[in-house]
Amino acid sequence: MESLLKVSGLQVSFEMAAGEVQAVRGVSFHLNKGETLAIVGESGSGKSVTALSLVRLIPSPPGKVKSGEIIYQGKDLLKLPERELFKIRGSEIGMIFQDPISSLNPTMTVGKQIIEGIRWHQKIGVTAAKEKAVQMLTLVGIPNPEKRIAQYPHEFSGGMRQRVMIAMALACSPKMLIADEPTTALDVTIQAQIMRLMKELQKKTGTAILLITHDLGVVAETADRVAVMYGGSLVETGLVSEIFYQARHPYTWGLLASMPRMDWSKQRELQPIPGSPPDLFDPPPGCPFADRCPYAMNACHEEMPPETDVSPTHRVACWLEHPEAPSVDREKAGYKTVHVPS
Amino acid sequence: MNRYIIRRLFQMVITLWVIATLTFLMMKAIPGDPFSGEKKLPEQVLKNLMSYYHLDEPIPVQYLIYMKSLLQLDLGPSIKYETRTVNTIISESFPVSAQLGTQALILAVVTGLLLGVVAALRHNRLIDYGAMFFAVLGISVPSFVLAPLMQKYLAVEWELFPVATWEGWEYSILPSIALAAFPLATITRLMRSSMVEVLTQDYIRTARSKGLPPYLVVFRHTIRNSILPIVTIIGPLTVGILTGSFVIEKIFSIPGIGKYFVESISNRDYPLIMGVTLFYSSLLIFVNFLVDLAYGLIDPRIQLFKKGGN
Ligand SMILES: Nc1ncnc2c1ncn2[C@@H]1O[C@H](COP(=O)(O)OP(=O)(O)OP(=O)(O)O)[C@@H](O)[C@H]1O
Ligand SMILES: [Mg+2]
Repeated sequence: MESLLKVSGLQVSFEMAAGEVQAVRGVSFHLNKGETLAIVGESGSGKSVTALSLVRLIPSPPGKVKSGEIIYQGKDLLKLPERELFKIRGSEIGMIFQDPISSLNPTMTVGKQIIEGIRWHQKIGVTAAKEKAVQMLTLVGIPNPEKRIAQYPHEFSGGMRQRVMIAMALACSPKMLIADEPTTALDVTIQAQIMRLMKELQKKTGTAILLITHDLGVVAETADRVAVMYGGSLVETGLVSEIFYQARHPYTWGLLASMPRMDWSKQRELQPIPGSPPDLFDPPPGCPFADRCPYAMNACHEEMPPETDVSPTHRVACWLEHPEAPSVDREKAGYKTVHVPS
Repeated sequence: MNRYIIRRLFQMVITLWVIATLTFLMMKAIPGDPFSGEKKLPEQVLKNLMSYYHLDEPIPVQYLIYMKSLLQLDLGPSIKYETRTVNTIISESFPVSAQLGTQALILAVVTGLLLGVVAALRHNRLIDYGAMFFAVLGISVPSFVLAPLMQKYLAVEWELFPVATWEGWEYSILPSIALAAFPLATITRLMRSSMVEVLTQDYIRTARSKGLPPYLVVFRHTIRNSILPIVTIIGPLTVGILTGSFVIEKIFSIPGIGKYFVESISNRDYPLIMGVTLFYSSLLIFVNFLVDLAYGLIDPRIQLFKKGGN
């Protein structure tokens, strides 16, 4: 598999009056051509900040990329002059966001919003761009595109607006699509439609997708690989099957246990992970999950665990991987065994 | 669209009628009459005058007479300026006030928007602080302080502009600036805060994610959305300019309508008071109507009227 994007050691902070929020603390991952990589993790773990940093869209100030490399087709996006970045955003890397209601300009017709991106990147005439926009709207399943193109966002439903966003993001055939919780703001039935649409379009266009989501069900259905994020770091990365069936990080176990499953008997209850995520103003020196981890050892509190490759595709950052660590019965690992700290 | 406009026109007429009636009643409630101030007039002359202006009739009759002439768009004769009607006084003096007011309004809107945009784009930098400093000055220094100061320094000491009166375009510069200061400062501040807010909106991030360079993001996506609150206050600001022109015209001895308005009240020139009040009211009502129309044009979510079909 050929890699399209390679991120290493990405660190992003927000400099606030109260201090520095270390939102992303040394994240490394890659995205292959045409695949779907899902980033999962609880609220505030730094998923959106990671995604926005890839194309330097974090609000700045206060946001700032402290260090790291983002290599896209041989170029480091963090070192590129702004002007070069304008050519990559939208044309090489498209984005869709969580809230389709606020993500479209309310005073501009959706047609104009799609067309302006096409014209900026492809330098073609209005008529040709308009045709392309109609094509895109048809592609994302919006009926009556010739008429809809002249309408304003408030004349569309939430699901339809997200389709417009997808049409807009894919209009210039980007090689990569960043989708930050594209379905969270939508009704459940619409969520499934939108995910199916994205999957279909990916088959047609071969676009790689970086999918950020809370929904492990969506991950199981659409992703090829999964990256689990916690407290600004990636704790585990692997193929979907590796994460769902051979997870090695206690946080991943917790995440899986907190998700309902079809094969569970009725008595089994959802297990929320006790405790709360680390303070990003003053993160602990060790593993960010140590305070909530039932298997935490001394080392976990003192030093960041190194990343260990469990298989060529499966990587985990946990002290339990250390040869001298006590072995944990991974089969039984579940949150029934956790003592809830009172 | 037509139905909306017709409905609004009808409402405007009703509003004007209410204003006319209230002004008429309040005027009658003020003690004194047009002829009491001057030296004693002979009994017979006074009587003739009273009957000429229908002032000897009972108030309801006076009211009906006045309403009747209003319907014919006739504001009646002036009492103070015996040879002229209120209509001619307004048509002679209004162009001067209109020029002054329009210049001030254009200056305020254009400069205010520009400064606001620049301040927002340079948020918390030197230009921003500078613009905000002048905005606070403009809002807190009243025009009757600003105008004489400008006269003293810009006209008398440095001789850059004429001090007063109205004899050519250069005479209109100082009064226009004095009149524009407050609305200009208000628009600057409002535009800045509105734009700073719009810049944090999700759709701005979307526009940037399409690869648009900053100037396109600002021109296409930011300004139009930031301008909505400005459109709303254009109405009140125009009112401010209209009423502010009374003071400015007085300070700069400009032969505008404001001068007649102020004088008409101390002279008890009933027809002139009524005429100018109604004229100003229609102007304000009309400006507000225009503002509403503009609002509907700028923000598609505000539907003033149903589009045909659909
Ligand atoms: N503009 C900002 N200013 C200050 N802090 C920010 C800003 N954006 C994000 N953060 C901080 O960065 C951290 C990570 O936020 P991020 O939005 O990436 O979380 P997330 O994983 O996307 O969560 P969610 O699932 O809720 O979207 C949070 O602690 C947040 O407070
Ligand atoms: Mg997020």
